Amino acid sequence: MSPANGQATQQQEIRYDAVVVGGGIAGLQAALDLADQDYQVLVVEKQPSIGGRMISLSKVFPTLDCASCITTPKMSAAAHHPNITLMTYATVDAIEPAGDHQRLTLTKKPRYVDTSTCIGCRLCEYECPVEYPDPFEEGIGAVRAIAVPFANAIPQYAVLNPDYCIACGACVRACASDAIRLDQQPETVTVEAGAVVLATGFHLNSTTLKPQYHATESKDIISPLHLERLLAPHGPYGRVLRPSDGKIPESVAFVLCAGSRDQSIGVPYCSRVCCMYSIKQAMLLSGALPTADITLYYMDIRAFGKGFEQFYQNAKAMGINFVKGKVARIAPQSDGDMVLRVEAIEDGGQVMENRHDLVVLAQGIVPDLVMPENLGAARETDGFVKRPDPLRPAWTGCEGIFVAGTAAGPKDIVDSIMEAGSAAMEASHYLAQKRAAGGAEAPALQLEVIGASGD
Amino acid sequence: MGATTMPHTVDPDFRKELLRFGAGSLIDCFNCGNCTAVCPLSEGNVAFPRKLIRYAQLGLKEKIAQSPEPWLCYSCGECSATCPRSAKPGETMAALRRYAIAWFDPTGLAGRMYRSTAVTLTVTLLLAGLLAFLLVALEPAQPLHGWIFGLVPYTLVHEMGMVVFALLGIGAVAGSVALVRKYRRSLDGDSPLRGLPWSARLRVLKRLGREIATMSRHAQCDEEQEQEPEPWYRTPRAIHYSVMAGFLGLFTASALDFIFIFFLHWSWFPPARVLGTISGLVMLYGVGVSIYQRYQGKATYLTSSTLSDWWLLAFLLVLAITGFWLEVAVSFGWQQPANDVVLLIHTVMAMELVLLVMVTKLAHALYRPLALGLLFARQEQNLLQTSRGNDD
Repeated sequence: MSPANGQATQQQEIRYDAVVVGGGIAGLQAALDLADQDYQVLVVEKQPSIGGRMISLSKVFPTLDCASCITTPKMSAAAHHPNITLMTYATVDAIEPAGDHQRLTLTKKPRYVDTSTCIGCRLCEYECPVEYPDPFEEGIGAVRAIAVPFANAIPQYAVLNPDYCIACGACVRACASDAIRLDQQPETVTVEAGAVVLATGFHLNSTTLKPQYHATESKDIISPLHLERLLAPHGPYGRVLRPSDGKIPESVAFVLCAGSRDQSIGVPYCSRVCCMYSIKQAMLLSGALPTADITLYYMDIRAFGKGFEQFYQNAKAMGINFVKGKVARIAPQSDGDMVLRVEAIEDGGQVMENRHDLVVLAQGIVPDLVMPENLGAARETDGFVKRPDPLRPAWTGCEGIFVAGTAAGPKDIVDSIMEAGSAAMEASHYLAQKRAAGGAEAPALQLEVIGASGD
Repeated sequence: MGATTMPHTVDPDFRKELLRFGAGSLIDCFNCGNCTAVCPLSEGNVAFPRKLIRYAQLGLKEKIAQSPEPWLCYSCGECSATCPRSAKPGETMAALRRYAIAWFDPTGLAGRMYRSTAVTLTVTLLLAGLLAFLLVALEPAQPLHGWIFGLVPYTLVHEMGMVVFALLGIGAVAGSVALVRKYRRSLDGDSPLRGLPWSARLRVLKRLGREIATMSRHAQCDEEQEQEPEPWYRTPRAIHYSVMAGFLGLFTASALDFIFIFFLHWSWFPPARVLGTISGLVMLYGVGVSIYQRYQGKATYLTSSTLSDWWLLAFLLVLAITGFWLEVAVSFGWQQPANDVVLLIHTVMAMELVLLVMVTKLAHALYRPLALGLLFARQEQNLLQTSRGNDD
């Protein structure tokens, strides 16, 4: 269902001290650090909920802490902070300098739900007759065409997917607060900000990049984010089953460097986290499937952080099989298994063909922000946001625009949080200097607050 | 002392030496093993190219010389196309073949020709000039004839030709012996045929014959390509096969002609004519497509061509064209003033190709079957061992 008669787009002028682009763990940390220093902060998130990639993870390495148990308090703190405004389901189209501040052009995507009256009761979701592959569950679970995005989403507002809605009106009839707006239109909003923090994050590149892996031919060649959902306690099946036929896997292969450190697919750099999350997943898997054989194929294990090497050694001691050699081919068989071809480099160098019934391709981290130029920043040759000054790693080289987290390069959660703090410090320093210079910049004037804990 | 415990001297400069033979980027390789695992011809413990690239990185020349594996590769290019470091392992394999030809050539000429374009061209042209001079001098009507054979007796020149061909035979034998001897070193001096019963040895020969006749291993390379498959007549195997079969057919036809016309004094020998014509057409097709594809450089296996590749193709092309010219001239009595020149070019280039066989790319026609034979013998031994193990 697409919205009818799209003329009435509202124009609003809002001013903040700082705008954080991206509501993942880095963006939330930067926003909290700035807001705690009494700056007015707007967080713009393109998904209907904040929380980013981290909220969908099962556990984090090397401590095996529950990921959502660490993320939800941050999400909640940001949502309830008096100095933070959240604008979810909105994109930043352009950032351009305007005087001594930045002007941001945002588009609020239509939720088809009036957030001023929606109470998140989910009656619409219960009545909706349409289900589609749940993006939050990486497509392996199902979600209704109108639904609250996931259990611990913030804000708890329903969102309607027009690609699947059949406009039957069941949600309209079910809604207790009359919040369904099937005629909602995209809205353009202009925001002025003293400083901007880009925390636009990453996505994993496609499992189909290497034709030799034949990922299109088998549902059981999955991405690591798939496996995170399979391993999550509240995941789609509540247990680890292989997607094609629901069989309990008996032999699982992790293929490292499947989407990075490979010039033939255009990602020559190391994604930094795949070794550790794969080891973590292998460990969790050996807990979930105690009888399964688990093999991890690697080029080099890069266990460089604090406690990482111990984590790796623990995994070996747990009986996880580590094989040095890049997997060159994956051949799906007619019985649903996959045969992996690899050179056993540390075992005489012969070619092995090993059979597995579930294969996880450790895909590479690529930046979500495709055109940082539009947001006032420059781009490195590898596509990540450029940081020209090695002594100011959070600065993009443009006045008042800073960067944090995986937008600037692959990194783990701890490093993202540290970098977010650094970006917040840079931004606050920049804002304080401007204020001290006594320039035109008056104390931030917030013309309109769009919901304290919503958009 | 076992081969595995033999001391080796690391020579980091060997990399630079191999670059002059057209190797890929050896310093870029981080030994992930993708090339070996992606290669359709790598099986079990006959695994390449990574091991050889490792030897090359370390400069273990002795290890390289002991390895018949470079000859098992047909340059499908899959390893280079999928190499995570763009280190072009396929080109390194080609360079190792060139290096081996130079290594097994006692004259040292092959190495000089591979390292330097100038030497290649000088040797080719000088030899052509010398041969042309001798050929022209053979004609009694030429003033040169009296001048040169007044100086040197005709029989001596004739016998020198025989000596040259005898030396060539010795060179071929020496090269083959050198390859097998080096390989034996890797077996601690054991014979590659050790312990094989005659039936197994016969099987090795049979498989070798079948492989030469069908190039079935080459077909394995074509099957594994991930890109759009070529029509059968444009597959690398079909093209390579037509060059090889055409060349062998022409060689046979020339030999038959020589026997029947030169020795038995027949006026002409039709089967040789028919064989020669068909073989010539087949080779012309293979050589033409090869040159076109190499010139375009689109396919993964043809991204880089060295002078030695062009040298052989150019010789075969000119030989095929001049051969057809002469056939037409002889068969239809086509009188042309250029005929003599064409005949001279044809004869000179054919002789040159034969004379230089052990120092050019053409030497692979000897080394590859040898290496394949060694491989089949090894596989027979492995079979024997496993069956013995099962008996125990």
